Amino acid sequence: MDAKPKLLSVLDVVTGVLMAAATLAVFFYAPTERVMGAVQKVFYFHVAAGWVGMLGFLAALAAGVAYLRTHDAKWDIIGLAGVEIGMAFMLINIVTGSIWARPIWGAWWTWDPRLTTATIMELAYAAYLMLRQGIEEPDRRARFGAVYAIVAFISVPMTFLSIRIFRTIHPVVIGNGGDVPGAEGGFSMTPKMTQVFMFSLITWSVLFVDIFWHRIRLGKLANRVEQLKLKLGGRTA
Amino acid sequence: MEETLNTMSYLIAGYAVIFGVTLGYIVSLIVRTHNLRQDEGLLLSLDQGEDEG
Repeated sequence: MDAKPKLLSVLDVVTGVLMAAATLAVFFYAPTERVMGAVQKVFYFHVAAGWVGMLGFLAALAAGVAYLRTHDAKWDIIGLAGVEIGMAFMLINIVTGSIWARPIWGAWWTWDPRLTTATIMELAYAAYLMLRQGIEEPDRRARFGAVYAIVAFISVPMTFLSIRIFRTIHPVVIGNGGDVPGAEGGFSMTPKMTQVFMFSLITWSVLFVDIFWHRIRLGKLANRVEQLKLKLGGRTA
Repeated sequence: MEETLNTMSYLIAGYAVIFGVTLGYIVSLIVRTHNLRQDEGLLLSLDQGEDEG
């Protein structure tokens, strides 16, 4: 059985402290936006969750390429970990976006290009998990997973760029000073807002590394159990 | 001058989702690890039993 590395235990503690500090910064340090009021504070973790969600999908893409080159099962474990974590964080991103939209846009949901592409991305990766479950043979499943993760990644830049390419009501806060024609709910970040935003991004990136490491360890354990089952099944057959 | 909207309830709902999903996922990792460790222990004992038998 694998003993938990000391560095991972340290990372768990650091992540917990950073998350607590980031939450306090959002609630007590960041100023309240003049028009939107308190709900604007959802922005800090909404964007951070989207960022790490996309990092997860990027990790799955890289692992997919590495698996096809090496056929080493560890890349399949890493790819699956990336997709699963990416989906969990993108779910946070989509739901918090919807909660923010209700008082600002007057609707929980609208088929705006950003919301549509984000939903397509989430569904594409949900299909990855479902289809994997239908393949029993480990090598075939890993090969399929690798190819799928590479193809599905097209949806990530599509989602990221959608608010910069298409006409959308989704605000483009980063790099545009919140001033985009047609966007509703945009705002200019004050220096304190920028500090909290950057700190949230760093914190969630650390959270991603921590959870990713744990998920990879879980994948390795699941792999060992599957190998044992195959070994014992082969003997009884 | 525009009036500031009272959106506190949406802020609370947003952070409930953020921490709910994050903690839910972490708990799922812990539960799955626990179950797999049990499976691994059982399978290893079966494997050793067959080797000895």
